[in-house]
Amino acid sequence: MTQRDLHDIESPETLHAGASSPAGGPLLDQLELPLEVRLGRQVWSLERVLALRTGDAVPVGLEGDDLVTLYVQDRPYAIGDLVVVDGRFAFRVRELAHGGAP
Amino acid sequence: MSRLLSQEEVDALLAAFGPAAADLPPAELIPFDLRAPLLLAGERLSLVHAACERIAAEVADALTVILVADEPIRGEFSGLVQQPAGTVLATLAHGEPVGLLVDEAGEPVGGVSFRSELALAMVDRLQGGEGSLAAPRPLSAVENRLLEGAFHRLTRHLDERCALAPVRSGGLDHDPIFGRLAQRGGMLAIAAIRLEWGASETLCHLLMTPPLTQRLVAEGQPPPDRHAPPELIEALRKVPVAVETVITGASLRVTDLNRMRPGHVLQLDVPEHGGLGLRLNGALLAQGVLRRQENVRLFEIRQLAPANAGE
Repeated sequence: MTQRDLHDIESPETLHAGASSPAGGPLLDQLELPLEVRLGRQVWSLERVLALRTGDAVPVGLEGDDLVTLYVQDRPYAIGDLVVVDGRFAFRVRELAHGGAP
Repeated sequence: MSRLLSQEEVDALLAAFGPAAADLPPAELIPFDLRAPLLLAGERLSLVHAACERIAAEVADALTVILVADEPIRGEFSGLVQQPAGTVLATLAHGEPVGLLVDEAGEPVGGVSFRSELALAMVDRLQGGEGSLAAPRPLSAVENRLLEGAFHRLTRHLDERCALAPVRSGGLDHDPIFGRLAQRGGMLAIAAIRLEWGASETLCHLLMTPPLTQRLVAEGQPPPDRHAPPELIEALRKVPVAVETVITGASLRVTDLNRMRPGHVLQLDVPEHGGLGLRLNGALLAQGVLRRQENVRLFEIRQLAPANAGE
């Protein structure tokens, strides 16, 4: 699992501005948590799953809904957009889901 | 770190994050290119190579007919490279026309480029000549129309006989760098085909966009296993299951999570032309790429996961 942080796109000032979290010390700050971006979820019949073949294109989420959700340790953490930076996917935060508690 | 936090500890940690830090300067955001291709690699590349060997023979057969050659023309696939379309089309020899291959909707999906001497041989034959290779020179307007007719015949042959189908002729791009294939953009896979007849030898190139290479990959896949007990399949086919499309494989330090605010951009270590997974009950079902059709985002399956994936 590879860790990419915000260094590529943050200003140096912002990097240094990140203080220790109120809930933990520097040790916890360095803790890495697994992320995943979920683009959409649908309920299918197993029959449809069994019929999947290479080359098939299946809808992702609802029509017209481009929002994706960032999950941290399997919990929804933020809602945002999927974008591309330097040829790699990136997540642009629109709204933090926790608002105090995810 | 040697100790894993419990979910409650993680929740408390995330909930305790303070208010906004300084806003980030806007990063350079590039809209996701829905026509961007996946580079061929591994098994997919091998499947395309194998298909190109068959296509080379079909191109040679078609040219044998078009040139009314005394002896069958031999066609040999001699290599494949993948480059941006603009690069490919800008490096074609001067006067080297490209016959466009289009799909059912008329969208350019590939092409065949002819070395000038081969193009001249075809038009010479169509004008009643011997059809032998001549010194390269630009084609006249009349010769271009004749070549276009020959390309239509070649396209029909490929459409009927090889896995590129369905393709139709989209005419010739006389100035390929400004042509429809160049405007389409993205990457091209270029298969070089060496053609030999008698003592003569030349090259033509098959230019393939990802939709065409995908057809070749799909054609080369082994047939699906149909031996599951039919009664079991019947019993299970109506069971509803949740599938979700995900990008995984990234992690972030707590300190960076702490600073995350609306407007921030979090770069994931996942290339835009891959890295998406289709997951069923937490297990990886398939890998693929994201594309869009009108207002709907689509997950296009590039590889189904092996049976034991996710275990």
